[in-house]
Amino acid sequence: MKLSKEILLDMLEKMLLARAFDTPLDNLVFESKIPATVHQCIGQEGNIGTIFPLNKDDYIFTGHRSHGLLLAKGLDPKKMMAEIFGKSTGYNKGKGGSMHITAPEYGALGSNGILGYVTVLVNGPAFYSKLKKLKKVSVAYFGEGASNQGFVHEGMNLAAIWKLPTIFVLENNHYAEATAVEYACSTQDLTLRGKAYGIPSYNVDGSDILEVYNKMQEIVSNARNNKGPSLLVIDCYRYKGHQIGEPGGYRLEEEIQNYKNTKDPIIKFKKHLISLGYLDENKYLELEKRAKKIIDDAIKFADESPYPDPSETYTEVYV
Amino acid sequence: MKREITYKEAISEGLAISMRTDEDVVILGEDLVGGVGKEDDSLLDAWGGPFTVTKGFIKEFGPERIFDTPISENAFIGASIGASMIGLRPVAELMYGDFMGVCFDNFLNQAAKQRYMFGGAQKNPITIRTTYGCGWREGAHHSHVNYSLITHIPGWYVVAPSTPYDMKGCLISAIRNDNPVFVFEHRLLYDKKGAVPEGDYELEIGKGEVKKTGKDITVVAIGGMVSMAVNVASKLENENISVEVVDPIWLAPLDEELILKSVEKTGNLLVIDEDNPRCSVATDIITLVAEKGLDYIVSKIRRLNCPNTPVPFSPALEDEYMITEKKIEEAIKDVIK
Repeated sequence: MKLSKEILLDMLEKMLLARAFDTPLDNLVFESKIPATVHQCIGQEGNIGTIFPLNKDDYIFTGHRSHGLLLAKGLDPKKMMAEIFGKSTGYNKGKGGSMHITAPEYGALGSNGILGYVTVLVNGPAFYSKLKKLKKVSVAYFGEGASNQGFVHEGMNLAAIWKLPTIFVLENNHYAEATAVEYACSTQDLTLRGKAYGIPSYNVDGSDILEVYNKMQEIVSNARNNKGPSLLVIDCYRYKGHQIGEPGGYRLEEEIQNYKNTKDPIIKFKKHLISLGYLDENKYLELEKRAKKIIDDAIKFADESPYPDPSETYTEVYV
Repeated sequence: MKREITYKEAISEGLAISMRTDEDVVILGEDLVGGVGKEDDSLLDAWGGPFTVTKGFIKEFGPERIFDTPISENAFIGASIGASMIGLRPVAELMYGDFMGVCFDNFLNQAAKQRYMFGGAQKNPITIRTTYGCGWREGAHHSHVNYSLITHIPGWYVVAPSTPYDMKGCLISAIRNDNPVFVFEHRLLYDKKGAVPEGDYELEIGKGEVKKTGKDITVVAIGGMVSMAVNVASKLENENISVEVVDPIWLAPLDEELILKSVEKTGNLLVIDEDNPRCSVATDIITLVAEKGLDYIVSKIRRLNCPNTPVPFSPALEDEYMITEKKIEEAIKDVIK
């Protein structure tokens, strides 16, 4: 499907925003502005292509490396940053943190710390949508590491037999914490995990946001038209560690450099847009600066926001 | 004459009324219908639930309200929790309480924590129904009493009704409440009868009841233990021992005031709890009285739990394991001697 210049540039802006959001987090953690570790998605910005075919009221369930996806879904960087800072102005009043950012008004129904679990939770809204004929789709994001949890088997089977509008997005970034996919997954063709349940399953290159977008577009359309669930496996890579402050050492620096030099999703997309004549170097720098300004403002907002009152500890356990 | 129905029939009525009065109530579980997936519908309702609680439901409510699921407790309870986030009121049946082991993340990390960790942005009006209770000669994986595990987790309401009347009213309240509620149904009570009104009624969440008044000792009994405690109390009247039987009905929230008031009156406490003793609800109630009512105690505080072992199979062993009226009587006499 041919995308307009506006949409393509919007995609680039969302990618830049994701990178601008996660880049300063290292320092903010080291300075203790952020009270604990955070998981960054730098290098995985191509995965944002899965958000563009979705409507604002479609549902997504994410894991703890999901800042970029949430920003693309429309969440406010200020309220996201404030949540990560543990401030009362955050999406979840500081009760959730980076791993649990949730904003139902954007269909972002929950970032989960139990990473495989989203593959069963996702069927709930899909089931509801099918029952009430809402034509909304429900998407679960999980990694290749989480794909080794039993939830995935149960969730895929149920989605398949009930023909739910569920979309499983498996972000294969090659490492689950410090363990390589080659070791942890019995097959390197992760689409087999969907095919085993009769679910149409596809591999895409996460460094090419348009390839990700195009396949997701097809999958979403199928789900919306009662053709059932699909699995999208995105081959991607994270430049940063599993989390800020991790010891590293489980992969060679040249492997990271090689990805940065040859498969960076932002650089590849930038070149593509320049070749289309939609972008030049100056315009790119301007967009990059704009993204950085948005995040600088978000950090300022988070920093100046108050912490929740200690009495908040006791609220919202029950309705 | 008041109408009498069984505990099991009370569950069915509570479910059916909840479904009739709110079309967002759907039920999911294994073999709730039975006979699904065949070419024609003639075999539907083959089971009507593993314990026939939902017999006939498919006929009344149709296939968009009652769903047979694969043996995938994570999948259908997870889907229920997910659907509850956006407006459905699912009632999921976990066939045996023992099976919570295969899907515990739903209970430990998801349904109960989401509202809190999302800063109130979410609610999960889900009800889990499950059976519990030993004495069925079904061994360690189909008899374990473990409501303490759920009671431990903030965010759950937990109820273990002891009579058909309580069962129906509490179940309806549970389904209509916006919080996750775990309903523990005692298998040995399923065929016990009691007076139950025909219509729609709710019972207050967190409110216990004195099932028999007395003045010498407070016996707090849970679920299946309540009727046994009442029987023993009646018997001991002949020996001039006056036993007050308190049924908390709800384990969370716990009716602390009711328990403390009774202990203040009697000065003695025995808690009967079919769960294993360590970190049990009995231990919790004893702690409550130790912290807030120790001045009331004239003799001693005791709990009566099943032993700290899995449930054995052989009748010779399970009979030893189970709490009996004889054990209750001995424990009462031990406290007030």
